[in-house]
Amino acid sequence: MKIDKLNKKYLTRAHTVLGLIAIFLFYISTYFGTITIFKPYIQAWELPSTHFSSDAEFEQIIDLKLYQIVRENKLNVKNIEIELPSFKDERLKISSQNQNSVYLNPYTKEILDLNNEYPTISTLFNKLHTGANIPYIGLTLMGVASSIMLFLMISGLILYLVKSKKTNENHNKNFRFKWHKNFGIILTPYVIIFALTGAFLGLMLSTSSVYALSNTNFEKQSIRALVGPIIFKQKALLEDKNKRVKPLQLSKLEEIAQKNYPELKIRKINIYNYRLENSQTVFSGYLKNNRALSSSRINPLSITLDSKTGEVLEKKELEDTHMIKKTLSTFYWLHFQTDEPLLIRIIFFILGIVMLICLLFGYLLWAEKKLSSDYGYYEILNRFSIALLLGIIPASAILMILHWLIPFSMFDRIIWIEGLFYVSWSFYLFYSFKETSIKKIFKMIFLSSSILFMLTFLLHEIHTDILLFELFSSNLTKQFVIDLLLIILACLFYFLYKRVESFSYLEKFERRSDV
Amino acid sequence: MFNIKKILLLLFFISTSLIGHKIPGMTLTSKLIDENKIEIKGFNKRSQKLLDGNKIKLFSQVNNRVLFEGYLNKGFLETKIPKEPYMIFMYVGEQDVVIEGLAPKSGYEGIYASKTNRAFKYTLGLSLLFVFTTIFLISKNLLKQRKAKL
Amino acid sequence: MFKKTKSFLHETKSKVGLVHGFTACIGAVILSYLSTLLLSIFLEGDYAVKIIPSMITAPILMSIWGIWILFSKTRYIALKKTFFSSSFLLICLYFSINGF
Repeated sequence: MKIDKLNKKYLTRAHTVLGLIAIFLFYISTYFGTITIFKPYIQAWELPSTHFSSDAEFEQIIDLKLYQIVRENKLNVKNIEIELPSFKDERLKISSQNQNSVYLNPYTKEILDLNNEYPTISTLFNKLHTGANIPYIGLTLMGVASSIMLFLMISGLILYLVKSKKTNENHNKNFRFKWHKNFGIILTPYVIIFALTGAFLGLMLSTSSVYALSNTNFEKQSIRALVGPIIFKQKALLEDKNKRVKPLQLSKLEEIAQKNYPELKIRKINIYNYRLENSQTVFSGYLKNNRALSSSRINPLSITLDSKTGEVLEKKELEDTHMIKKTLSTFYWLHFQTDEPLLIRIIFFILGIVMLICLLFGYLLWAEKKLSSDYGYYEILNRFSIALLLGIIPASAILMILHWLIPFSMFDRIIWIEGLFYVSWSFYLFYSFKETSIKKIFKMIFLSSSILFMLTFLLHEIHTDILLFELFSSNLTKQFVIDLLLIILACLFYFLYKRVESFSYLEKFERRSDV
Repeated sequence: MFNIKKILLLLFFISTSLIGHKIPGMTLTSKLIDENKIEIKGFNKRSQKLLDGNKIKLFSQVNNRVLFEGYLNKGFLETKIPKEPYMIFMYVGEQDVVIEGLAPKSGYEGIYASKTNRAFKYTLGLSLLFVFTTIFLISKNLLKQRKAKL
Repeated sequence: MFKKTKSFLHETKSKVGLVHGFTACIGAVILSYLSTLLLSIFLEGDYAVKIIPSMITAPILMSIWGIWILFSKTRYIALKKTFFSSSFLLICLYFSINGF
């Protein structure tokens, strides 16, 4: 493929400039996104109420307990929702729209004492990933960064495919250039998936009023009013009846539902008009062999039974659903991996780390080129990048420590945790300008990460009062694996701290003048 | 380009608010009806529908005790104002909505420090302290470099 | 003054300058929105079928239009590309909504 030499120059310059603009936003988003891939496991680790051991005997019968809970907590009988335990959340959840949810230990059926706990870590990591921490423009800004990333991928591919007459020998021998190119090519499907879905969720949904206005001749401004009734149609609430009727046992109803719809993996039970005459029970979930098209967030499939007789009233199958609902469901499945167990998440996690390294190498290529020019702004930018791109690692460890340190009963706990996260990030910014030698900054970041990750692991065990191998023997494998990973990370960063001295590449960036 | 990134970093910091205790759309208000009574109202701002049956709890700002518990009756609840500064919690589904409680007309007896925005103020202050020290260090180094060049 | 502007616009450059860069970025965004709006008018079906696919293809089109405007030898050609394409698309949109 051939393009004009001048055009190739334009494309390279555009790739560099747009890359520098986008890297600061997109690196943070990728870093937190890569961690958030494991959101259900992190949530199991950070909530003390999920730390119960599994019993060998498991009976599904919860009808008496359900009746008690609905009465005591005054749940709205028009629509009671029960979420069955799954790998995402081991607890049994009973809720209705107007009250806080009640969580049960699925084995002993006792109500779990939540003690004001809140999933701070997964919520804050998700907030930093989507850019919702920047007021008003954060989500749109992240969407813009994702679109720029799409451009970077396309321009990078074009530059790779263009054959030029004389190849720059020095350039190709550069380790960082070779791997920036190779990782970029390998990550093309990854970027298409995540940058495209990210741009849709961030940029397009915030600017959706343009589409709404043009399609309705400037009448309606929000697409939720146009698209909502088609895609997100809710089942209408049933009319009020006064006569109380005892329904069939819930486990029996579930048996009937599963027999009539064997491919459905039941995740959620909705009881409409609980214990009244015209009560209906809806069992919803996803298809066992087609998780992408029927992901439970966008396109859940369901079967409706009459609670008194067990007769099948309605059965929603995959063919009945709207085509756009299936498309959106695949979209969301690609970006969020809903209902997916470990394998695909681990693949995306590894690709995410490769992406972070590719972005870092891209920045280093530009910084190396600018070494030969005058000191001044480029050194400031280098130190700023170290603080932003590397200083975020110990800052996120501090966030995890604060989750266990600050007591759950403090009402403004979340603001304290988020605020102190930013304080620690700005401390690393201050440190990378105060300390003259770049190697010392790296050593400080690595050493503090190592110590902080070790502290996180210790605080978790002290708070939940279950030590490391007891986690494994009580079958709490998720929490055990995360604790083990924290120990491995702490050892890894300590090892890097010891090896920084012998890393001669960094000496290029040290301040040359004696100032 | 350099300035834009610094501004972006500052924007990262100036963004915390009572986010943990806000649900988009759900609104909780209170108004004084007597010398010592308030009327609490909970509704969905988008659809203007009154919330019914939701639990309301009044927590003391001094020591976090539960001062009062009740349920919304077709969107409203009347109760006496407690003797110390308090927060009103409304429970909806997974989360809760929190607002600061109104003081009685004659004020509280005793001196209490306001706790509403303390976390935001202190953490913002500390972050800005670090950022301004950094800017000061940068300008000091730039000035030294300019002097050495002359 | 007009002579200066005219010569400024017509000179060939070796690097991407500010005018060239901003025209490419802003022009790409405007053109992608206009072309996906046109696409949403031509798709047959209910509102979901019209809006969602056009929203999905908009970010890809941004890059493609951007590269097309970027590959211009002078600032004048870049501005010409942006201006004429967006006017053409606007006229098409107007006629598709209001009919002939």
